Amino acid sequence: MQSEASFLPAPDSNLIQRARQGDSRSISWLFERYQPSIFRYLYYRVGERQVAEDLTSEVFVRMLRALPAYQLQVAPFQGWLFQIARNLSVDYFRQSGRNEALTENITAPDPLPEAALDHALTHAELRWALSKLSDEQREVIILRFVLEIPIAEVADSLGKSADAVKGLQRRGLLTLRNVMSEK
Amino acid sequence: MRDEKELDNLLEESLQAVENGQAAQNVAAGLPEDAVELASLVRLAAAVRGTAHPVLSAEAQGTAKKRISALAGQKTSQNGARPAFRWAWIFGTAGVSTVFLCFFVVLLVGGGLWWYGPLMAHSATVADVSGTVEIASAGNADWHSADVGELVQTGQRIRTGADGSVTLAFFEGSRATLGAATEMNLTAISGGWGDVLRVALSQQSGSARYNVVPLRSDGQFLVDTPSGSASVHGTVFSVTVDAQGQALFSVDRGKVEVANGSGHVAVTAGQATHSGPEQAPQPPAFRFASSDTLTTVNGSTWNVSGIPFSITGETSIAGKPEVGQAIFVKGRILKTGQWVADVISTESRAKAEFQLTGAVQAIEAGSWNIDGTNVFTDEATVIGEDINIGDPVVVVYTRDGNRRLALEIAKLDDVDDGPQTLCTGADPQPKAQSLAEKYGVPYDEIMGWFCQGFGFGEIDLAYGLSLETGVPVTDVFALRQQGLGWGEIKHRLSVTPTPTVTVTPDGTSTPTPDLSATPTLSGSETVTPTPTLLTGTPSGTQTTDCTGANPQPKAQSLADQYGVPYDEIMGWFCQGFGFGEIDMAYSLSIESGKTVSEIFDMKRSGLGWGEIKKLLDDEQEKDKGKGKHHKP
Repeated sequence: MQSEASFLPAPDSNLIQRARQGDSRSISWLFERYQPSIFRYLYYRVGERQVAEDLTSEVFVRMLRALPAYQLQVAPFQGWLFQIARNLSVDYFRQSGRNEALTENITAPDPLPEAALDHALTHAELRWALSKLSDEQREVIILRFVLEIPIAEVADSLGKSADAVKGLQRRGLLTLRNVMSEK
Repeated sequence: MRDEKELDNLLEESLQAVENGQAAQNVAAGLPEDAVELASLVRLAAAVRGTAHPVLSAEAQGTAKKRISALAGQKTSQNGARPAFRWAWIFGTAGVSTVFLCFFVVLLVGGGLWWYGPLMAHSATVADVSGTVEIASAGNADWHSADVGELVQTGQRIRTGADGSVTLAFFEGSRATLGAATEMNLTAISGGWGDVLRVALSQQSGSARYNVVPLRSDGQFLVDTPSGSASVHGTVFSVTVDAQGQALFSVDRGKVEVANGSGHVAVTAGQATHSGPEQAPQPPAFRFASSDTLTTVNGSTWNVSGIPFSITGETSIAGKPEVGQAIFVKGRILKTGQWVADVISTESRAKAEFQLTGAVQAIEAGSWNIDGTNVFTDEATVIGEDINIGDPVVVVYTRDGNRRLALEIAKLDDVDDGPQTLCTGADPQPKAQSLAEKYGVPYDEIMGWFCQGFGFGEIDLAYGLSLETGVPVTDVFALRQQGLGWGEIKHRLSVTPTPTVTVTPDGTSTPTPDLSATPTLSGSETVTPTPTLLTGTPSGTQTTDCTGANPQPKAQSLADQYGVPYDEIMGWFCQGFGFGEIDMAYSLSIESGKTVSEIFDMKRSGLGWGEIKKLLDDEQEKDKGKGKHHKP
């Protein structure tokens, strides 16, 4: 199956060009297309719905401001948007004085399913479990399994080799499993 | 014993197998003995994928869109490239539909196709097979006959013969019905326990009708053709692709965005657009369909039972129609009134059929005008309820001499072959109930505005402004419908040329402007003060003529009230902010701890004062929440 990243056709350069010129339809098209993924990404990174909502809005504001400088040939559009989102979340942690590990602000859901491995999780459970991972592991798990982006694109996005991402993926899942079984 | 790298690779291969539609349990069970530790990771990854992930709330979407809209407007204005586009209406329906999505009732598809297993979520189920229907795997020319209940998975292809048709049912209720001689690929499909359907289909040929249930806002339903793609969230539409790859997109309900590398258009109920591989989608137009005998052919003008239409170089003609032969033609009614055929086939139908769509222009006894075309009615004509001027309708008619006699006229929104959506969703809608109580108006009145496409935040703002200014709320909404931003509306309603705003503290945190002037709405009297830039020194001691009076008493009063320099107040005023707004900004600054500049920046981003206050209140609540959390 194609992953989500390749699932949505990349917006063509004409669309981006029109968005650059302030064409509202093109901009709305970009927003409608990418806001679900961006919001999900931010929600699991920062762990708070309200903050994620605010940051999602900010991602598209910054997208609009930065579009004139964006070069399709240099970076895939979705990857570029995620980079903006990642930077914003880092800024948020820095400004709020919060640790990216999130553990201070997220309480464990009660109860966590006993056999979580065989059931769909609630997003609160997943958010809590993700908060126990290292930043790198969390990033990979979110990109791979929440946003369903293939290994190669995750590697590109994070500036790592595919092998490194596979390693983070396995270790991240191991940590996640241990966190859940300890609960 | 496998090393770590081998385990990493084996895990990735297993995950790929799950992504390709295999059940996680089966993949986990099939792992070699020396890698059995990976089994739980495969199952866990599948569980994470199946999580019902959160979606951006409708309110947050609305706020984000307003911010982006305001910024886009500024950029456009600065660029001078094209007139500022009002986004409100573009986003309006999307916003409402997003709310719909939260409440829609999922259609249970026939045959008990409803379940949440991962395989189902990554495949479509074959239903209603008729005639020749075949399936092949990706990259494989080995076609086999399709059976009812068979799963079509990502990468597989399905085609129908000249006598065939089939329905593909997706796990949450959406359907794609392929007509004769149609082929498509199931390019991608994902979903899961959370009901979020994400589908991409590639239709290479033939005709298909898509009935997409309203998706959650992170759902997606894409239909690609050689001439462009259609993207929808919940609608009924059809796509016909001819041998040259040209595509005709026809919409029966909802809205479809049709795009290719050359442009994109939004097609609404009753409309159609035509596009080619090298051609941008045509402007959407209402449409017609006729099935009867080809009576005359005169150059590019053909005639079916007395109804003329034009043939163009882009008209797709299957077979060699001859005069006297039964044909089926469908096409678009251009703004010029010209009927242009897009698709003609020689298929024979059981009976003559004529249809057209359009917006109702006039309703008279015995006669309706549908977008310039007159149709006649008689006592046998079945006319749907609640059809008003401007509504898109479909007319089924017959020939009565030279007249078109309507057999049925139905509002397109009433066409019901799919799940229903209500603009109310929950009944009662809690937010609407809250606003009704807040402003002492009937619940239905609030929902009336909501169903017209206004968000609850906007409704709150409009009623608040109405209360503040005495202007009827209908007039406030009328300004919004004219395309004014909320900031402009507030200016227009609340600021007089020589502001004489007095603040009446109401004992709460929000000062309520008590306006001494009665605002009027008629036109030229935009009462926003014209900011006259400070002449001479931009800072420091200054005299200014942006007020008329010097010193300006109200500015002096605000300076005294907030303990800031008079020039600071006048600086804001000369940037176009009214004294009421300046008062509001300073008050909010004190309450929230934000700087006055930050608050004015929020205002400049296009947010209304009600929205700003709400955002700041929410932040404070959040901060309080954090404080509680950290208490020992």
